[in-house]
Amino acid sequence: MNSFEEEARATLRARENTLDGTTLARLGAARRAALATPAAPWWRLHVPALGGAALAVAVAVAVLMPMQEQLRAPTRAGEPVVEDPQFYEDLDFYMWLSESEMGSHG
Amino acid sequence: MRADSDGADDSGTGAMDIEAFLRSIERRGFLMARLALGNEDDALDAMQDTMMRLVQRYANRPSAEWRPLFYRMLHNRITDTRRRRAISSRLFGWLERRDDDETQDPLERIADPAALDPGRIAASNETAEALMAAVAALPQRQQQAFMLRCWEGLSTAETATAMGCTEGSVKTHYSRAVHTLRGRLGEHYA
Repeated sequence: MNSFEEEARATLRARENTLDGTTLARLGAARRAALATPAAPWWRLHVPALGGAALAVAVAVAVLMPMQEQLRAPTRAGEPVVEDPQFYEDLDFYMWLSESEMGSHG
Repeated sequence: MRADSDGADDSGTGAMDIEAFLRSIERRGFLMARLALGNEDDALDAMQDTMMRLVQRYANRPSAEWRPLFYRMLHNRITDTRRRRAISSRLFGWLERRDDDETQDPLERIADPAALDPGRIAASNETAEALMAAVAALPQRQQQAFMLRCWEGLSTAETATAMGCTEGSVKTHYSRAVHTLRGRLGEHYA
């Protein structure tokens, strides 16, 4: 720091002692009001972060759910994807029935 | 513990309680805010808000962190006040212009510290007033850098934290500020 900066600092710091009584009283009142303020609970300090995380999860769910549904959807209209084992048992029965009828007619 | 009438000393960052810290910083912070905002009431509001936030949010942090945190919040508050004024001026400024037919940029008419003419004050040989006026007339970032580095005595790294920018930016703003001030106030500081 050169002499100009040192002199400027000295000038500015000397200025701090020229504040009038009214201003000092108001500053003191502001300080006491601040000190009387209870510290914020930890969770309130993290509300923006928690809110952001919740929003990110909501957006992810909103985007991924339709994608998941799309993956499960039939590839062609009218062609359902069936995962029920009962359906295949029924299918076997109908195939047997069909073959039996063909055998009896033939 | 120091009394209210004690001078605002100093930038020691050893362990201290939050009240002692606020006492040590309130005068300097107030003068910086008044210089930046050009208004005593706005400066007091900014100081009270900043002190409250520091107590609420950072009282449990190590005392060495308080100073840069305090100035960061104070300067953010000052910037918010300036923005609000600018918006208010844009919304309602046309009413005033209709009255006085003034075509000057409303931003230039908001804060009046820059209205103090360093040259005129220098002529009256009031060095401190001339310096305050010259600092008030600096661009905002240069003003911040000068107040934090020279007046408050923060390190470059602490100033960067307080200003929310890189150390390189601090050095640039600070050197420009010192260059400008030296040019304007050379006759006062031989």
